[in-house]
Amino acid sequence: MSTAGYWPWWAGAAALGAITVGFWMAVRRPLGVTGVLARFVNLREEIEAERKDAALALADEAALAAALVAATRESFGDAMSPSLTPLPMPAVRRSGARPRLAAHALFLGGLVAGGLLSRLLRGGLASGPGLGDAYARVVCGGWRACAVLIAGGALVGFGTALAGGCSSGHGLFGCARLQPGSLVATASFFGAAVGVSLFLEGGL
Amino acid sequence: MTDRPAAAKKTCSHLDTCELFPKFAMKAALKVWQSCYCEGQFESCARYKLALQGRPVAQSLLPNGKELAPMLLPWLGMNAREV
Repeated sequence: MSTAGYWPWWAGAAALGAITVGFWMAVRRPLGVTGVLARFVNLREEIEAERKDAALALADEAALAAALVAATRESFGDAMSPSLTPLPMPAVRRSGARPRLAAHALFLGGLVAGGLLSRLLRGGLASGPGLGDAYARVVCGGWRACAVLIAGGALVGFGTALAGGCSSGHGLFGCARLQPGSLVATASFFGAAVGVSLFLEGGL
Repeated sequence: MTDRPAAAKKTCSHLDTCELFPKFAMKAALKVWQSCYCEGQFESCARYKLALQGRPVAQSLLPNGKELAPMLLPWLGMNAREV
């Protein structure tokens, strides 16, 4: 398919790398678009979780430790150690606290706004269904393209839920952290994408 | 002939994102949570199960499924309705 009108591949790669590293430095959390989107699918549960966490946000460290000790005593009784001395911090790469829903709503809004802005800067919005001539030639055009896109979107949603992440979460972030599951997931979905593209183009 | 090395201890795969795990390091008395769940039966951890399903995990949810927030009330001077 034609890539005319897109950024050069190296500029896109540099931008994605900068966003991935910048997101980690700012938020200390993995960046995964479907993970962000999933929070709004589970909106009611997310709001309930934020409500419960509000009490923890009000507590200082001493109050939190005291509550945890009380909960430990209730759950484990005599099995718990009586020592209240601090332990050394576990040697695990830590992520930061989960951003609030409002922050992730801004993030999703930014994705849409960024796409619209990019399109407007390149000559305005196109009208009608479909994704252009190249897409119509390889897949289909017109209103049939809408049905294909909806079906494809549903399959992507199903796949990312099954794989625990998408091309941003696994491909950008997981691979950058050399997480084995992410390496396998990325190789699988990009391998499948290359195979299907070649098949549709008649190269296989 | 040398002894076979001990099998690597399996730990929860969500340690780096779990917001409660580092709090169990605040006091030695809390280590039992890590031993029992994070480095033990993490498959039975309520937080792990929710995370696997991609559902939100409240920071106040304890591994045994109970809530920590009510335990904080005496220290915060609040009643249950305010939480």
